[in-house]
Amino acid sequence: MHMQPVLILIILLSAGWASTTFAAPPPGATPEEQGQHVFVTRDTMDNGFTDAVATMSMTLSNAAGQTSSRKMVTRYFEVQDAGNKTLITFKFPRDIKGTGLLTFEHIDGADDQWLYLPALKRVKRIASKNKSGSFMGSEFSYEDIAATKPEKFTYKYIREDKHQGISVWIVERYPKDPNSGYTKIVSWVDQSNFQVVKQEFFDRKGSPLKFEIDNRNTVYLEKFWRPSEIIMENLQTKKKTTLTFSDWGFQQGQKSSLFSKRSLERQR
Amino acid sequence: MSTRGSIAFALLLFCTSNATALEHDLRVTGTTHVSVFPQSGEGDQEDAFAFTELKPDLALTFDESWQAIIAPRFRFGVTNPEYNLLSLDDVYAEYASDRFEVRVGYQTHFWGAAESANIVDILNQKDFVVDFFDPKENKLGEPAVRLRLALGDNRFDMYHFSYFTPASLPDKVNRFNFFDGRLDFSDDPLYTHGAERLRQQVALRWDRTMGSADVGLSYFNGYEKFPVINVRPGALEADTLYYEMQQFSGDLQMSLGSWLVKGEALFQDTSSGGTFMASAMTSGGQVVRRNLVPKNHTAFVGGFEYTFFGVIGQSDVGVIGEYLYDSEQRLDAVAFRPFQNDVFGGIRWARNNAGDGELLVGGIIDVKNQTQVWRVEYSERYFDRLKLSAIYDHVEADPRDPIAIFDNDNRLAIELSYTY
Repeated sequence: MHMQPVLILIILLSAGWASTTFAAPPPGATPEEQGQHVFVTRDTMDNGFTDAVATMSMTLSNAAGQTSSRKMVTRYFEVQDAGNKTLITFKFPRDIKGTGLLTFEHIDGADDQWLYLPALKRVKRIASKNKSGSFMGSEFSYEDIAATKPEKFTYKYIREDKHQGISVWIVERYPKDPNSGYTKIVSWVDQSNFQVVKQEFFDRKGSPLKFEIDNRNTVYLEKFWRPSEIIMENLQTKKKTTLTFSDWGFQQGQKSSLFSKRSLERQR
Repeated sequence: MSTRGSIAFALLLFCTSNATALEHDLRVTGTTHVSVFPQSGEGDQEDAFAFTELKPDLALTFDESWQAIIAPRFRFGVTNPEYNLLSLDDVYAEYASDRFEVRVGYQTHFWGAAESANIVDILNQKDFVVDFFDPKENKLGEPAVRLRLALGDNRFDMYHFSYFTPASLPDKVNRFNFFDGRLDFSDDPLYTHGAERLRQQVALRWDRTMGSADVGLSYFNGYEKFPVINVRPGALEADTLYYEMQQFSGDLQMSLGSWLVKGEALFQDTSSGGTFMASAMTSGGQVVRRNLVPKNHTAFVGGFEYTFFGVIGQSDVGVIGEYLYDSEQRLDAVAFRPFQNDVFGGIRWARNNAGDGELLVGGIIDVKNQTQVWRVEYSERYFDRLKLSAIYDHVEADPRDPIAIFDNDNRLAIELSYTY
């Protein structure tokens, strides 16, 4: 496996972790444990990113091929042993520039989420069960955009497979949150780096709803993997959103106070 | 130092210290607005008006600490110069550190949590000429200094407003005129304080997040923004009196699953306004002397919002119910807040399409006499930069209700904006 040196490096960097942390799903385990192992490992590998920032651009296209654009700056803040904090500031369309979305993820219980509306200078709390709602009119929902801790799902390992020449594990995830828009997410996970390369989402009725492809997973600071592009297609409406990430930055010393309602009001 | 001096000083400090690495971002919004009133006006009232508005918004940023905002608003009346307006909505310099912020200059602020009315939102004056029932997007910036301190999850704000702005009120050519198009307001308002517009105003606020709730407590000492209206016998113009008061208020927004609970409550102590005697005509035609300063009053607005996600494709539907209470009964004091015992019902349909299409339908209904004020509003963005909004307002009033004066002011408004 060509990614092996990277994995070794990750292990060396992560002093104190057993080297088996990044191994394949243990064969003796139940399918539930094997599936969970993949996603817990993926989450553990990302430990220590401290803070991150990226520019996100979205292109929304409908079945007739008409397109519309979105641009935002997203900042992440790592909170040890708890959910992370996310601050998204919208840049385009220009009429909503300065609109901000602040999320405090909680491992147990509902997330806290606030929306800042600059035209009214108003911070509005958003219903914490707003999981399945569309994010900015795109095919991504709030739960797709938010960082999700592995504790929020139960799992089932299905099988090994090949995807575009790379070895993957196929794992089914079932959201614990009854307000999730999904009953099941089937994930294709790259065995070399534990990154998702493809996912299929099933709606509350159990029908196929959306299909996601993650392109160009890239490693930053030799440790933190992020996709460069995610394409999400709605199988029911034929609408599609392409989300591209650029200008990733990690461990830039962003302060905790940046992830506050106070800071939300100052974003431009 | 005067406020103007402080702004100049702060901007100078900002420009000199940071001249080398200034980042700037300019946004300009141009809007054309047309309002049409299907029923004929009374007196001098027009049956339509139009204006264009230009809103530049320049943000100058040096680093995470220093920021200057220059966002004035220029409005040009197309049909009537009565609609001309220059407001320095936000023209300020701001310094922010980890725990401390100071903002100096013209600024607009928002306090509140409810949807149908924001009774605690006292800091800025509003413009009632363009949109009487919903003036919240037409706030007028006022010169102020705001200090903000963050201690843990607690946020403490201190405000000092140095120069009061009287409200922009509907004159006799305008709809929503209180005198059926027969009287203008005097350009020279009355004040209970001798310093008039220079009466210094202060406010304090504490807020924090507690679990899934955001709570705030506020104090304001200054002029009530809604004036008392008085017509002296034989006068050709109506007087407005701005009276001093202290406002103690609280607001809350809380998330409970798919439910949001929101509320605002206030107590206004008007004793600092003292007594302001004036002659007035009774409905029986007699001339009486009376104190224009209203008594203390309490008010409340609050209720719930429930959202259904993913209804009809990917659209969301929110249902809002609120109750509005105000202990003030005196007719001349309730002109701007005529909801003493009313319920509000509203539906918000967010289409979640590329243009963020959104439909709002809401009505406030008087519990006792069923007087109703309805609004239907639809807005959608096209080609990423154009935004079209349409609003229809409908008033159905009991003749004894203060709103009855507006019962021929049903309105259709169309607005087209382009944002660069």
